[in-house]
Amino acid sequence: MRKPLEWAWLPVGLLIGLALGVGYAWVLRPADFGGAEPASLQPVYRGEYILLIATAYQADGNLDRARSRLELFPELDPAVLGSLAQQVVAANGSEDAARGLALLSVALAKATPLSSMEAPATRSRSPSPRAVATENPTLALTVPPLPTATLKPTLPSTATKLPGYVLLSRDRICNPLITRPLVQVVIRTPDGKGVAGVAIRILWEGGGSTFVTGMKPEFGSGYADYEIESGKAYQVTLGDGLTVVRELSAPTCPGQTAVAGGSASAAFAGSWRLVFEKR
Amino acid sequence: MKRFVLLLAGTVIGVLAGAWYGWSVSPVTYTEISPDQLRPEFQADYVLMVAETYAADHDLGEAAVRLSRLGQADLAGLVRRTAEAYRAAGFPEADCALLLNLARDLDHSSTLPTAAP
Repeated sequence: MRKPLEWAWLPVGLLIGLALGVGYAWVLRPADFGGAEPASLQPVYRGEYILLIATAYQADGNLDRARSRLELFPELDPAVLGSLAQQVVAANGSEDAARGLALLSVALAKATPLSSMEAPATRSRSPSPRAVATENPTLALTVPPLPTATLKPTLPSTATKLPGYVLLSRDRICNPLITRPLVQVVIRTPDGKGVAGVAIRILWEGGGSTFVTGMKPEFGSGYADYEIESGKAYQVTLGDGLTVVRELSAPTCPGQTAVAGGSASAAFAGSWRLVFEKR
Repeated sequence: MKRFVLLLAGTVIGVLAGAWYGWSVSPVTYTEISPDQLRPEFQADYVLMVAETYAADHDLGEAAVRLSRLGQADLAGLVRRTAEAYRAAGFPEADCALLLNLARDLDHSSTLPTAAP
């Protein structure tokens, strides 16, 4: 009866040793820490890192490099980037960063998925940011200057300065499928390509906000919209503040328009669609 | 005496097994880190991103604040060392030039914030 009791000291020692060994390996001398990946950053630094990727992309236009950097954050896809851009705008954060995120979101949505490391054969893969910016001028050169952060509408100060955008059309939209009145903005180049990353300032009495094209890539890279309230007058300002559309209020659409087949229904608030061309 | 030997043997085996488990099977993982705890290659890329952004916005103060997250007081030296490492590794000269440009401007500035706490 004494032998089994004596052998019991072995597992007791094992348990003590295991605890000591694990404690030593986890606390006193962890495995050689050569550093962590950006995905392990604290949320605040993680956000900064992602914004830095976007601003660096905006600066150099190197999509391959931006993509390989973003692959460190597996949860980031173009839609998430677009959402982040909206958050940055909503939080009055850096407009450069918001514009970079929006541009990146659109560029990635058009390009290969993030999970693919290899660039498509049709796109040259230059290691030089400068070279890529030259090869893909629409990314680097179509970004207009942003308006200054003022709530007051800015009028042209000199007769010689031309606006960067021209209003091509201003259409009332009476579409019952659009349940809430919107100001829809489409910005395109003279050859019809959408221009992403343009900040649009919308002002109303006692307030203002900014929204950016390209955050809803499903509607095109040059598309942006802003929900408005019925009965309020809005003013939209683009780029350098020289392009201004005033007196925008949700139009009243007749009920007949709302119902297919001609049966009557109540009138509803419509939307506006503004199409601009970037010079 | 035999009890002591058994206890000691068990402890030694346990320590070895525990250390093996803690180092190899389930090593410590790091979360919620700060930028200065990034792997060196990511720190270098971080510095490059700052230099790329600086080349576009010319905001030296912002660049310095971002670099200070890496926990080094000599920001210009940090950028210059990164440039040298990039050059040695065969990275494009354009990247090295961006870094050296930032390092030079940091050198010339005397009103920059010190390293972040």
